[in-house]
Amino acid sequence: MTDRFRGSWLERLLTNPLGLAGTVILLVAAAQVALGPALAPYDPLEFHPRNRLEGPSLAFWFGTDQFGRDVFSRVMVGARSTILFGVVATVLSTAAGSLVGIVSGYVGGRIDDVIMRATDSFMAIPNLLLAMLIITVLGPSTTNAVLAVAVSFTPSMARIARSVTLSVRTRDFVHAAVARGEGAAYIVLREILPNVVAPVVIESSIRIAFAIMIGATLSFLGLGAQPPASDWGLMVSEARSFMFRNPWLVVWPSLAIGSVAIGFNLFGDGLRDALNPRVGR
Amino acid sequence: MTPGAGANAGAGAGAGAPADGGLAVRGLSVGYRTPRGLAQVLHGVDLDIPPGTAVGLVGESGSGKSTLAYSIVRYLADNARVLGGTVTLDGEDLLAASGPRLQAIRGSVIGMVYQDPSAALNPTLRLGEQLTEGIRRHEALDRRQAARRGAELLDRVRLPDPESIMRRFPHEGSGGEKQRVLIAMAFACRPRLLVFDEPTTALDATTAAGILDLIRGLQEETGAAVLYITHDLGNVARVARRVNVIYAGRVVEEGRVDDVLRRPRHPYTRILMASVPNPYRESGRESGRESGRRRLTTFAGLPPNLLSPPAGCIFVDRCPFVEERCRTEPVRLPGGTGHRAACLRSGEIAGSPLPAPVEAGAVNEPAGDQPLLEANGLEVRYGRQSLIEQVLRVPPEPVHALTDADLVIGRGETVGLVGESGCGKSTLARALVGLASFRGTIRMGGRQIRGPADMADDYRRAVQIVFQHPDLSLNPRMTVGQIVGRPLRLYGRLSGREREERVSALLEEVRLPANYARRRPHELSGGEKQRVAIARAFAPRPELVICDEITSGLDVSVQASILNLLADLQDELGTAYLFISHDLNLVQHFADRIVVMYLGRVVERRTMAGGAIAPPFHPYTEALLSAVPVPEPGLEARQIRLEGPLPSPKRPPAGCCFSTRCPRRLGPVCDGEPPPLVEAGAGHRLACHISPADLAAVEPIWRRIESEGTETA
Repeated sequence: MTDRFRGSWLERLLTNPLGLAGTVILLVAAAQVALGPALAPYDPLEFHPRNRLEGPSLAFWFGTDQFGRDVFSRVMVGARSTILFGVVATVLSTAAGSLVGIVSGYVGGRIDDVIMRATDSFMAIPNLLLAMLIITVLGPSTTNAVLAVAVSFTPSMARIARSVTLSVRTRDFVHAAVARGEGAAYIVLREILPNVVAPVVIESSIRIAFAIMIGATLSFLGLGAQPPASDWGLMVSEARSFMFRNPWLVVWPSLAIGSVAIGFNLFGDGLRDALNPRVGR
Repeated sequence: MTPGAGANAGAGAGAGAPADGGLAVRGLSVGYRTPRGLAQVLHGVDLDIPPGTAVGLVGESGSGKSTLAYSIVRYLADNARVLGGTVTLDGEDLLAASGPRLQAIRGSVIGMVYQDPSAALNPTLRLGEQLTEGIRRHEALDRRQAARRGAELLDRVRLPDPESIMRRFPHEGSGGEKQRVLIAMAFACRPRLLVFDEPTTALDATTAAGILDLIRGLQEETGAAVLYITHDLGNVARVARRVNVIYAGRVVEEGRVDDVLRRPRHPYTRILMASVPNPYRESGRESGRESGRRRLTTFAGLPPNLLSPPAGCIFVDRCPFVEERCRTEPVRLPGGTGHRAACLRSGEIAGSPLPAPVEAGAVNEPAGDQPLLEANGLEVRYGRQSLIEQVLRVPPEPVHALTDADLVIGRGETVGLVGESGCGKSTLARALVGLASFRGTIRMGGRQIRGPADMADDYRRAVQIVFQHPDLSLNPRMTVGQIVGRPLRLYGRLSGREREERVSALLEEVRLPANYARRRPHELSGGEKQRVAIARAFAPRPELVICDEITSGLDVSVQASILNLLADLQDELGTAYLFISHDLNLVQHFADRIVVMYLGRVVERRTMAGGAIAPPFHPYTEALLSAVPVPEPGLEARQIRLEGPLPSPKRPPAGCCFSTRCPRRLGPVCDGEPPPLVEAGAGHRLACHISPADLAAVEPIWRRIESEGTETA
C-alpha cells in the first residue's frame, strides 16, 4: 500500500499545500453531502416564530431567517442539492463534450469543421444567459437547471477534448496502430481515450466550481430550486430583502458557496500538477 | 599552445589558484536535490580554457556536460546546488557574481549557443530585433547603429543578404540560417568566452559541417575562448585543440585532440570511439556480413547510479579491463598539461585490443535477387485546401513529398535509405505502411497494392514499422506487456497464457528482462523504450521491418547496441530491413544496399558490395559523405558545402532536383532537363547529367595532411 502511494499522483497531490487544502475542503463538503440532515440540529423547514431574524447564538449557531428557520440546519441540508447540482451538471457536460470533441478531433475534415463552428456559436453566448434561455423553454425546476447548465458547458468541454485528441492523434503510437490495421473503435477507445481522460478530468474538476455558482445564480434568480427548498443560492436570494436587518443571512450561504467553489478549484489545480509532474517544475 | 602555469598549480591544489586568463574551473562539484536524495552530477571537475583556444567537452547524455555549461553561466535549475569549487573568467569569480553583474556578463562577456535553434529564438520577433536587442542592451548604441552592427555580424556568419534576413521571422528561415543568427548573437558583443552546447545536433549533416567551419573560423578570427560541448568526437576534431572526455560527472581523459583520437587512454573513450563506424577506416575494409563488419563495440552494463556511485573507478561496472583494485582505490585525473586519463591501468592496457563484439553463429545471407517488396513510381502529395481557399478558388499548391520513387527490397536484406530532412524518406516509409495515400504500385507476395485500402491484414502483419521517438510511439497509458502483446492479439489466436509467454520471449529477444512487461514506458530509458518498440514490431514475425531514424535520438553507445540487436535479429530470423537515416556513415556501415534521396526523389541507388561507398557517386552523395565527421587526427576532408536553401517542395526545380545547390552543376542542361537514371556499375544507378566516368574521376574525400608518426607530447 505505502509502496503504491509513494511517487504516485496521490502523493504529489497531497504534498502540495494548495492541493491538500482543496482536498480537505472537499472532504468536509462530501461529509455534508453524505450526512446533511444528520448534521442539522433542527428541521430546516421548522418555523421558530419567536426567534425570527436573530443573529448567531448558542441555540441557533448561524442565526435564523425571516420565518425563524435555523440557518445552520439549512446550510447543512442545502449542501446536498447545491453540490450535487454542480457535480451532476459537470459530469453530464463532460461526458457529452468528450464524446463530441473526440469524434470531431479524430474524424477531422468537414465533420470537424461543422461541429467546431457549431460549438463556437454556442460559446459566443455567455454560459448563464444560455442556461437561462434553456430554462425559459423547459420551465424552472432543479432538473431543468441541471440540464441547462450541462448543455451550456458542453461546447467548451468539447473544445478541450478535441484539442487533446488532435495532439494525441498525431503521435506515433496512433500511427503505429493505424499501420497495424487496427479498427477505429480500438484506436479511439484504447489508444486515444485513456490519454484524453486526465486533462479532461482536471478541467471538469475546476468547472464544478463554476457550475455550483451558476446553479446558485439560477436559484437566486428564481430559475432553479424553488422555495421552501434549502438551496444555498435560493437562500441568498430570499435573504436579500432582509439583508440590512440581518446581514448574516447572506453571509453564511455565500461563504458555503465560495468555500466549496474554492475547494474544487484548488483540488483541480493540484490534480493538474499531480498528473503532469513535468509542468511547473 | 602551452596553457598558463596556473593550470599546473590548480590541478592538484584545491586552493583555486587563478589562471592568468581565460576560463578556469577548479574542483567544481554540482548536485541536484531529488526526492530520493542528492544526485551529484559533477565531481571535482577541472577545466582550463586559455584565451584564444577552443576546448571540446565530450560526453553522453547524463554525463553532466550541460550542467557544467550552465554552471559557468550560472543558469542552473532551482534544485541544483554547487557543492564546491570555483569558476573564474579572467580572474573574476563567476560563482560569486551578483545578479546585476551576471546580467552584464551573460550575452556580453560570455556568449552561448544552444542545441535547437528554433527553440532558442522567439517566434514572434523578427530575427533583426532579436539580434540587435542584445547589442543595444550591452553597448550603448541607438537603433540604427545596432542595425548596422547586426548586418555586419550576419555578413560575418556568411549569411547572404543580411538586410532581408533581419526582416524575417524565425519560421521563415532554415535551421542552419537560424543557428547562424544565434552564433552572430553570441559573437555580437565580442565575448571573451563562448559556450556551444551541441550546436549542430539538431541540424542536417551538410548544414552542420558548414556551422562547424564557421565556428572554427570565427574563433580563430576573434581569439575568444571557446567551450564546445558535444557527444561526437568527430565534431570535436573539427573545432577544438584540446578535449575533455566526461563520464558520470568526472573528466576521465584530457589532452590534445590529436593525441586523444590517435591513442585514447581511458577505456571509456576507446569504447566510445569504437561504437561509431569510422568512415575513413571503413573505406579500407573488407565487406560482407560474413566478415562480421556489422557489429559495433558497445558497453556492457548501465551508467552508475548517481545517488550511490561506486567507491573506486566510476567506470568499473562497464570496463572490459577491470581489476580488483579498480573497485576500491580512488581514481583521479593526474595533473599536468599532457595527455592524461583517470585510469589506474591506462599505461598497461593502452595497447591491448578491445574485446570484439560478439557475432552471431548462424547467418542468414540476404537474397537480394528474390524481391520481397517492390514499389514502382510511388508519388505522395500533401496539402489540404481550406474551405476559404476553395471558395476563393485559390489554385491548389500541394507539397511534392515523394516523386516517382522506385524501391526493391530483397528477402532478408537491409536497404539503407539516406537523405536529409525534407527529402521524402519518412514519407516513403509512411506510404509503405499505409499511413499516406499514394499513387503508384506496391507489389508484395504476388499482390498489387494501389493504396492504403488494398493493404490486407497479411500485408500489414508482414510489414512493420519502428518510429524515431520511442516516447511518442509507445502509448504512455499502457504497460509494456500490453504494447508488445497487442499485435499478437490482433493477428493471432493465442490464449492469454500463451500470449504472456510470447511477450516474455519477445522481451528476451530484445534483451529486456521479462518483468518489464508490467512497467510503463516512462519507467524506461530511451534505449529500453526503443527496444520495446522493436519487440512490438517483431511480435507478428514480419518479413520487413521499416526502421525510421530509430537511433537518431539516442546516445552513440546505445545506438551501437540497438544496431547490434537489429543485426542479431536479422541473422536469426532473416527479416529484411528498410533502414532510414540521415547518417550516411551509419547506413553505409549497416546496409547491404543504399538508396539516396533528395527533395522527394531517388538520386542514387547502389549495392554495398565494396564495403564502403566509393566513386562514382552522385554529387549530393559526395556532399553527404564529406560532411561526415571523422574522429581521425591528421585527416582533411574535402570541403563540399552546399550553398543556398533547399528548394520548396511545392515548386521543385524543373530539371535536376539538385541543380540549385549542386557544386558540380554543368550548365543549363541541369536546370532544364531531368537527369536520366544511368547505370554506373553493377547494381549501381545514379540520376545525374555528368557521365559516371567523370564522376568516378573525382579526387578522394579524405586526404592525410600529416604522417601517422608525428606526435608531440
